[in-house]
Amino acid sequence: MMFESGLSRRDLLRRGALASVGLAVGGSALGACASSVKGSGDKSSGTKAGGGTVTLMVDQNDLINKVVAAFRTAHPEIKVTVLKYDFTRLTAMIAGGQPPDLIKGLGVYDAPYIAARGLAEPLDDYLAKATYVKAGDLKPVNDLWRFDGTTQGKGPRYGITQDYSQDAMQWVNTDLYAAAGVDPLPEDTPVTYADLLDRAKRLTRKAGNRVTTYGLGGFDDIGLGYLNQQLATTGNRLFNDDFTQVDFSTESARQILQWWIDMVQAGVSYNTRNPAPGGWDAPEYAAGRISTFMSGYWFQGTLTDTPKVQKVSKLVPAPMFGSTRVSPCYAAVGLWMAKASKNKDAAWTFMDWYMGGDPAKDRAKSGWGLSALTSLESLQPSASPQQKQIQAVQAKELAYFTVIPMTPYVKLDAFETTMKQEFKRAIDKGTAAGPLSDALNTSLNKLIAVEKAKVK
Amino acid sequence: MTTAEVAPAPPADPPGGAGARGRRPSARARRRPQARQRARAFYVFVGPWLTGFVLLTVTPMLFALWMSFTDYDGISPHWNYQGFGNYRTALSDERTWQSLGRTGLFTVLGVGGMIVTGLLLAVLVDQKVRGRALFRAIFYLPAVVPPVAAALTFRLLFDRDAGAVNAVGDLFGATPQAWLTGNRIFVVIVLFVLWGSGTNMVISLAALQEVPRDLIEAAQVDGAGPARIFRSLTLPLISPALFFQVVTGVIFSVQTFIPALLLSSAGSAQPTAVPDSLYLFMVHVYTQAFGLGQLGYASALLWLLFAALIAVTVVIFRVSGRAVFYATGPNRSEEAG
Repeated sequence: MMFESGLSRRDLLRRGALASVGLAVGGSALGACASSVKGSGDKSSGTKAGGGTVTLMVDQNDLINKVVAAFRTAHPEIKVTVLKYDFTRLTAMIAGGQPPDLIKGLGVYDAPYIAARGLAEPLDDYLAKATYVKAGDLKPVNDLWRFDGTTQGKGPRYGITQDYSQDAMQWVNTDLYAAAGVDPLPEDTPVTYADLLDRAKRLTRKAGNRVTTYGLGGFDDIGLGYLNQQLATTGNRLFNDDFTQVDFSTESARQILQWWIDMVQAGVSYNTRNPAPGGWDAPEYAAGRISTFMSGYWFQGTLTDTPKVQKVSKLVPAPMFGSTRVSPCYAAVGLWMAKASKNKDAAWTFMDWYMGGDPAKDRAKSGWGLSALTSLESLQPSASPQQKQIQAVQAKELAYFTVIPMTPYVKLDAFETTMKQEFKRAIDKGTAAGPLSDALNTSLNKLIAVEKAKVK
Repeated sequence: MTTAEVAPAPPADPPGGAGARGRRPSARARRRPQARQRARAFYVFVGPWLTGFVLLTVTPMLFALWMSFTDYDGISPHWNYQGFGNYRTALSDERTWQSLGRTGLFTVLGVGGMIVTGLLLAVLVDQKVRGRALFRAIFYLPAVVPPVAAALTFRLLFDRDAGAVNAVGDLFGATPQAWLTGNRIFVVIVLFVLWGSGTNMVISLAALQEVPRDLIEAAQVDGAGPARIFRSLTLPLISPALFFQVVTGVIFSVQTFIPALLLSSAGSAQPTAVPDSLYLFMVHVYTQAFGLGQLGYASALLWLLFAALIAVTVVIFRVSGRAVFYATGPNRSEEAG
């Protein structure tokens, strides 16, 4: 028994203190070791092909459980463990040298971040011997997962997109437009953001001081994706050539910031001053309380529970700030493989099947996102008149898809947290676009410099 | 019976002094088997807790202390020692002081309000009225509602366009207020905290029921009114319970951030959606750690908060000497006499 020797209270506390200090030092040393290792996983994986356990970190829901069950049937030699996606947990697992094998990510923002840190395994060699996903079948949205060490969109592939939308497009509730006597947004040509805001003011309805219908939705807070798209339509971009600095001081950028300020002050949408009750204003559109909602192809899936609004909703092109049509993706959800994965061959077997096999076909048929593979485009729903309208507009919009590179040094959350804090401060104090742009430049460039020091 | 009464007296020195009986046995050897057994049992029972405390509290605290001197984020390939840089930044950051001040105000209003409300409710449900058990249950009910569910419900109630509060105000011709923005949301969170005063009520009620009735009757015989009895008799006698609520209330209030996040942005719990008036210290820490990924800086903030809490607790304990009255046991010298 542990106290047979007559351990005194003083001895116990002394030994316990030494043990805890030792654990803390050891734990921090382990953490330091993990953080200083640059992608220590080996390419060959060292495991027998097709066997073992694959750990998948994704959004956990019934759908993924069914997918995993189907995979086990097709590949009984590979066990799949599903973890709920949590960036904090992922950080801890990476720091501990035990990352999941496959991780959910957003191609638009995560790809350069993880690739620059040496966390992701390049997939080109795997694609060359894939069963389902062929490199030539990958649509341009998959270029978001490419990174050449400096610029997103070029170089090796570090992930594959599972599906996507061109998220700057708009959904219009034609009934609300008719009730307000406002012409609906055209299906064949994009409107300008100024026109969008003007219509939103005419579409917003009030009962006393309470708003009963908002003219605009999907702009509940300023975001990098929106700014990138708006700036790209003017032929400009936010980041410099090596992505170490942002510049909000250009005339186009200031006009865009002023548009956001005007939109909040007009009270035509849920926004940073008036947040949506549920945290996101999409349910308000589905409830028939918003006339125009910025979202892409995938949004039709959310309207299936509200057939009344679904019937009167139409998809229209993304608006422009300048004269160049640009219609990017704001997410591109997909999977990437950890460079430190212990079972890469089995992980690729799952990824290949998930991205190109039966699950990919089911996703294409569901209407919850555009297929990331050209060969599966024909499976996208087009039976009903509404689905035909959506497909027709979407097909023309594809030509304007483009990759807008993101800086590899800063995580999106950190970038947007800083940006949103400055924007909220500007709204609260009534600051104009000029001083706001200066504040954004100062804060964001400082953040990029601090984060860059951790990468190179 | 005291240890002095149980422990045997040391043996008397033999003629010729202590040296005459040879080497004196060690203190351990002199301990009686019963005492050793009691010590063993103590360490066996406290061992699991102590192990958990060391592994799950002390070790993470020390790791956080180490992180506070670095810019380590757990995911980037390089990290650098910052020395006291994080602490200097924290102490010179305007947002740190503003959030700390706001948290102080929230603590004073929240804790003070909860204790007063809890005591008021306790006095009410201590009366001999019909159905008081039902009233006690009703007043305590909010305390058992999960805080996340409660915060989301409060958010829906106070929504400007669709909330019940403005709908009721509408019936009386009041102008709908944007409760969840600006300074008004601070009022909402204080109301949210007061709504959960049931726990304070229970603690105060238990203390009220310990007040000896004969003392109250004696005061009544001497002509004291209800207010005088409450002020001069009841309050001093329940002061230890109130003091307990102050200490625990301060510690919990300072850690508040879930209601602040959820009242500001229900579905996404985004720290950037929190209005300035609700930007409490822990929201500031959460933003730094999980919004900006600055784990080292957030750790420095937490260690500064820890130091501040220690200081506040010391002050509270010092002040309590004059305001808290503990009942004492019989005087030992009187018993011996």
